[in-house]
Amino acid sequence: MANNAPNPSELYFIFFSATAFFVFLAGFIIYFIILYQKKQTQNKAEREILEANFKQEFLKARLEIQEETFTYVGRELHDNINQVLSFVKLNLAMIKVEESAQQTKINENRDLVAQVITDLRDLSKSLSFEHITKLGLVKTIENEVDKLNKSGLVEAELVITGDIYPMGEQRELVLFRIFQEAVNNTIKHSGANHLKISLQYIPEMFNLTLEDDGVGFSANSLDHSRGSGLMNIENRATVIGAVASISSSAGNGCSVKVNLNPLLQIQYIDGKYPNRLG
Amino acid sequence: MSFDSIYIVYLIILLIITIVGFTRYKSLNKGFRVLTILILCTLISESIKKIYGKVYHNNMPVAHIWGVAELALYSATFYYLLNNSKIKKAIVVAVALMTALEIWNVLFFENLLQFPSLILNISQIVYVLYSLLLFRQMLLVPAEQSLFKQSLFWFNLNMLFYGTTMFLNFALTSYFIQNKLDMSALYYFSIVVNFIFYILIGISILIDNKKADIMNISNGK
Repeated sequence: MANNAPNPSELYFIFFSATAFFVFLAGFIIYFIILYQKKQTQNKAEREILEANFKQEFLKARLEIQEETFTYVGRELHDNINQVLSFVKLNLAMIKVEESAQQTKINENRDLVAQVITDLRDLSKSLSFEHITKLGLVKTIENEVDKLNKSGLVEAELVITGDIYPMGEQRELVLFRIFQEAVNNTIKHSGANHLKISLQYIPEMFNLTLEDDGVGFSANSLDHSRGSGLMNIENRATVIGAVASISSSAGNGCSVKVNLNPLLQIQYIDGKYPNRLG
Repeated sequence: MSFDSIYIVYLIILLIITIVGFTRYKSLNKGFRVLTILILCTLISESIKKIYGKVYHNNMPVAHIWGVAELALYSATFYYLLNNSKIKKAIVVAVALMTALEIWNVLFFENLLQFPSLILNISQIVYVLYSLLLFRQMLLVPAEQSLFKQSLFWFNLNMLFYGTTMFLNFALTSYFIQNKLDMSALYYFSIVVNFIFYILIGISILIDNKKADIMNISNGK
């Protein structure tokens, strides 16, 4: 069929043009694949940031609601129930009977009511946001340790090392709630005799440690209430930019450690929302 | 391998893709449903072409009609795959214009007994444009799924490859005819490109999943 042989240079041109065409096509496809995967990675990173922010906001909102509830309950205990009980105590003091056995009973009841008033006042203080921020973290924990020791539920020991520095109201409040949650877990579940609480103030790092000598637990054996309590600790720590680690094994007690870099500035505890917890 | 044997293999490939497409029809998204119908129409058109050619020794009238119908169906596929409303309108206008162009072409340039090179060449350019637009959309809204598992990617890549390669093929064919060169190499090249094209369409129909696409779009957006 090849009657009119074309010019060789023309054939070379066609050959190189066709090759260039396929090289260009392949190059375009490779470029697209690389660009697409880059975009995918970018998108994934952005989505993860959004998810983390959402989780953080959700935790913040939950803690805010919890804190408001605590404040409300604390105020009610202090302003309402305590007042009523004071009247009851006063009324009991005013009752005078001839029979000494009955008088003794009345006095005993009056002492019991006085005890309830004191306990409720302590409870109200431990729930109150204002009280904790006024006293500061160390003093509040010291008071709690005293109460624990007086209650006889557990023998608590408090060790404070380093120069105490303030960490901001919000962070101290959250740290105190973590402390409360951990103590609550120890009393309710561990059966421990001894609880050691350490507050370690290093310029770059604050460490809160609670160690008990109770029955301990393995991760698989956690019931719902204890599991959610431990999760609360971790969530609260996340909100203030701290890291909580809980370690335990069956028969070896439990240790809760919270590490916080006080120099770390978290947007929402940095004065941007001064009236909010988170 | 004789031309008839190759043609039978080609029709069998089309038949298999049609069966796969209609078996998975409900789980395909709209674009790929249209594509399945297109493949069925291609099978019918190619069969008619063959019979028409045997009876009348010229199947160009069928090629003219199919040229426009094929463009309209590929346009409909891209119409459903592309999201931009302006581009969708442009697709509708492009189909109308191409139909008018084909009528004009038949009346004044390439009559019904001649090869419809004009409409086919322009169709290839339009497919490349559609494909580039779809690639752009994919970059703007990247899905979470791996690119190589996406039916959209394989289909679009295929369209780009087919559109550009067939355009090159037409250009080379024209040159070969002018210089009276041996056409067999080009003939086999065209067959290989067609086979690759339809096999990749089959793969994209096979892996397409409406649910996964919905999830990807919602995640991407």
